Amino acid sequence: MGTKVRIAVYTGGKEEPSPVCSLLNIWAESTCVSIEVFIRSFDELPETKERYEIIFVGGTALDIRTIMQLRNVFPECGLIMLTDDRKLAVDVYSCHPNALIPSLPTYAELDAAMERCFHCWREGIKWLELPLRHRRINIPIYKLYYVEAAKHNSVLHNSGGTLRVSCSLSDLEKQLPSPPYVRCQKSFVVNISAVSSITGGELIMRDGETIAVARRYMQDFQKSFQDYKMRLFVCMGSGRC
Amino acid sequence: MHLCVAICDDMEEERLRLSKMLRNYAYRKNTGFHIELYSSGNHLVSALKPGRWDIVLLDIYMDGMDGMKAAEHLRREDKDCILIFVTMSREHGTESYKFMASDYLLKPVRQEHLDKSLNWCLNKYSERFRTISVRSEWDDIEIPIRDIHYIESALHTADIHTRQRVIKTPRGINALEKDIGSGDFLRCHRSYLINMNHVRRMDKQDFVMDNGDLVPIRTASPADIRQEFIYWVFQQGGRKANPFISL
Repeated sequence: MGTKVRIAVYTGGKEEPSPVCSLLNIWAESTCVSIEVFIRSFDELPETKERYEIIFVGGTALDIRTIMQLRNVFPECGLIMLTDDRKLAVDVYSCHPNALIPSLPTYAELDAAMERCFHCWREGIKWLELPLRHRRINIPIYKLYYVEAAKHNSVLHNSGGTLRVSCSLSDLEKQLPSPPYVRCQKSFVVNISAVSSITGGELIMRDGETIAVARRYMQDFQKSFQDYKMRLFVCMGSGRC
Repeated sequence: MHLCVAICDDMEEERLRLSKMLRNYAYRKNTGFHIELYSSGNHLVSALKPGRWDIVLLDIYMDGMDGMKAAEHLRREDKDCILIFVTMSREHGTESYKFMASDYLLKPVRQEHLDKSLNWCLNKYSERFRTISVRSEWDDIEIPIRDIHYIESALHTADIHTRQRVIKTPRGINALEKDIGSGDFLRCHRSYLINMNHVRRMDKQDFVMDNGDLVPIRTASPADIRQEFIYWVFQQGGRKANPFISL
């Protein structure tokens, strides 16, 4: 794994830990980013000597002075606001947050917010070291949706296109963390978070592509997919995951 | 620095007021602003082209297409331009973040508020607006670095291929590379320096640029060049639409 990214979640203090903490752990697993989440209270702020890459700020008793103070303590790190307050949202522009999302965000909202402070957590991403035509090449496991076997080679499919590497799928699979990467047939290993649904023995990917699931792998794949969905459900509630 | 700014507001008085404040700012900061005025969201969207504006000042409540809808169109086409909402209401405070707005100014906007906002934006995105000065056949010209697609060496001169034209300069490619000093540029060949932002695709032996030109990859250690490009694409965090590679 890459360097651990330190993320602090600041809330009012006496409140329950924000559900964003568990959602962050699911996000980290899905994107293969190594993170460590710390739950912090505003009361500790003046004495803090800790350093974080990203801070989340939420809670019911949030005001602009506290956020300003927080920004002064952590001027360089990524700042993500968790609030539904429209007035505060306008005031907080003066602190230049990287993103502002609802206090109970969906996975997609959290993912979009993290995308906006990518430079703060990119060191936490795991890399693959793969052969490419008699040389070795390093590829980040970043938005790598699935890997397909192509004879004795493999083709990586990520958000921007494809890359063929001189490495068998089974060798490559050994380097991929599971979860989120799960084998769905002889020729495919899929990132479970990139799957939208399973219907009639086929995976419908988020980008609309379909990948067949072999009967041999169906049971294990379905179990992994349901576990993933259940964890999202617990964090976000029905109808939001 | 010469920037193109769009002001979109349905009230003429507001458009002129903002325009006057922008000119005032430009005068004090010795910056050139080319200002375009739009009276509705529809008007702005019909003129929309990627990279057309550096800064957009956008009202929200307008007849026809409102500012939020216009911002949605703007972000679909242009993820990089600086967007500042200028409105009377705080109603869209939370929603405004979806469109990667840099600021949300409440009317009536005062000169110091606009100054503060522009200072922060221009400081944060200063690299985006950087230029280099080169001598062309006739005179010295300023070229925005982001407009350069690639530079091709020709003996002791160089051809700078930009979005608009090819500029011949008596300076060598090494000196130009040093002046540009940007991590977005890659020396993929002894005679070529490319701006990776304008790479459409990387093939086996060439980079295919946005304008369709092929730029060769050096034959010695091409894997190092590919690795550098892959690493750069990764550093962009998905902002580069095309990234990869057909190898």
